Amino acid sequence: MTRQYLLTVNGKTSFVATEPHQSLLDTLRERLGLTGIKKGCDEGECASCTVLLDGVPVNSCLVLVGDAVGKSIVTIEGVAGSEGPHPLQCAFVNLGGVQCGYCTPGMIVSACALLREQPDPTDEEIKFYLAGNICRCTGYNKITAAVRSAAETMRAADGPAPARRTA
Amino acid sequence: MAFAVFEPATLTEALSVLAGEGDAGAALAGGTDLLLRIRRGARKYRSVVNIKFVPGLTGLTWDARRGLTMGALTTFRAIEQNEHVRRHYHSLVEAARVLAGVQLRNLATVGGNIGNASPSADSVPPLVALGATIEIASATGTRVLPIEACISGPGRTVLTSGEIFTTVSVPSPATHSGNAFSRFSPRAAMDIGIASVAASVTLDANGLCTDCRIALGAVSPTPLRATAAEDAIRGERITAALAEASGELAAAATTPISDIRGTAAYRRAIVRTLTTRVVQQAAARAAMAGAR
Repeated sequence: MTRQYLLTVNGKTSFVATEPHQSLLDTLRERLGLTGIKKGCDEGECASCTVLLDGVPVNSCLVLVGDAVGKSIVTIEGVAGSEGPHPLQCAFVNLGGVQCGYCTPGMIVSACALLREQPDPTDEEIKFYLAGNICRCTGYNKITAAVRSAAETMRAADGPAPARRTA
Repeated sequence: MAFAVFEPATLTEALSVLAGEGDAGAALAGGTDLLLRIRRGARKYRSVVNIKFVPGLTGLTWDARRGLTMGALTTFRAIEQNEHVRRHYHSLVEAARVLAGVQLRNLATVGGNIGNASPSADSVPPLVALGATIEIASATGTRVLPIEACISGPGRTVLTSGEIFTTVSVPSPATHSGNAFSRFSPRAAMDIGIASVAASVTLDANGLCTDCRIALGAVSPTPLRATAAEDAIRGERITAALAEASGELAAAATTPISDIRGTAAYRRAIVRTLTTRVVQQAAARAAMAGAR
């Protein structure tokens, strides 16, 4: 039985008609056409379907659509600002953090949450946070480097760099 | 696979809906196990009763006398990040941090992990070793059981239809006590443990062990206390040799299966090593707590 769900996706709120047993992932892809978010495994193993629910990264394949009502949903389509790609998106492109691209939306959305929690993560912290995001091209080193680079860019943009020590 | 979804707004309503649906309905917590089983066709339900809108089932409070109280829907990410858990219940943090990945830990709940009743449930050994209990509610009242008493077999709990888990309580650790957990899996994240061990140890002023609880994961159909290993440690000073002896006794207490993750003999060997390490780690933490 189809019902109407009031969803706030990437800042826009609208009614979406779907059935209560549908996942948030299928609702976003099939009903709202947000196909940037990927359906890798549909069983919570790969995290290519990661979205932010009230700022928190979750596997949208394991969220029932009703659980997203009243929450802010951010997909890869909502990551970029009006002034262009997000620093993470630029870094993934520039540093080769993308191979086949299937895991990339989930990686970037998850990394957004990481950098909000920890603007200056160590490699270990990046790996720990992204451990649920599986890349089968095995390009993890470049992904870690891209996150580190984006973090630097964002810190530099956020405020004056710490005063350099003079010799 | 279609199913109806109920979204009760109060505990009373949830319990009444669950009682009405009987075996055709399932309580939905984080959904990370239940939705998979439904989608794979392993379980057929007419309805799921989503209890996430029921107030009072989430949240984590700590009190020096009463210990830790967690709503059954508390997520593992909340557990892992809570300052009181990080300070007093290292074993629980160690288990939460290896459970799946960050995204799943933002969904998966402690009540769901217990209720899913997998022998390899990461949170069960630390909760058992910490002496945790769980409150079960139904339309007719509540009952409280130790964690180990509410799991009756792989995928089976003592919950009858119309009952749900509401609250997990973990006693406040004794002074001069420490606890630790370790799991072995080929992959550090997004993997299922081949075996795991949790230990809670209390020492007296002379460094002798006054109390000890050791719980093993993924090596028996139901949660297992390594009581012979505990008895060997109680009253003694925990030396490396004694920790090793406790590892032998713990391994002997297991009844593991052989499957794609490992043979029974391999699992026993892992338990021996993990117990040796975890008992020493818990004792070292107890000694540090005593020194403070």
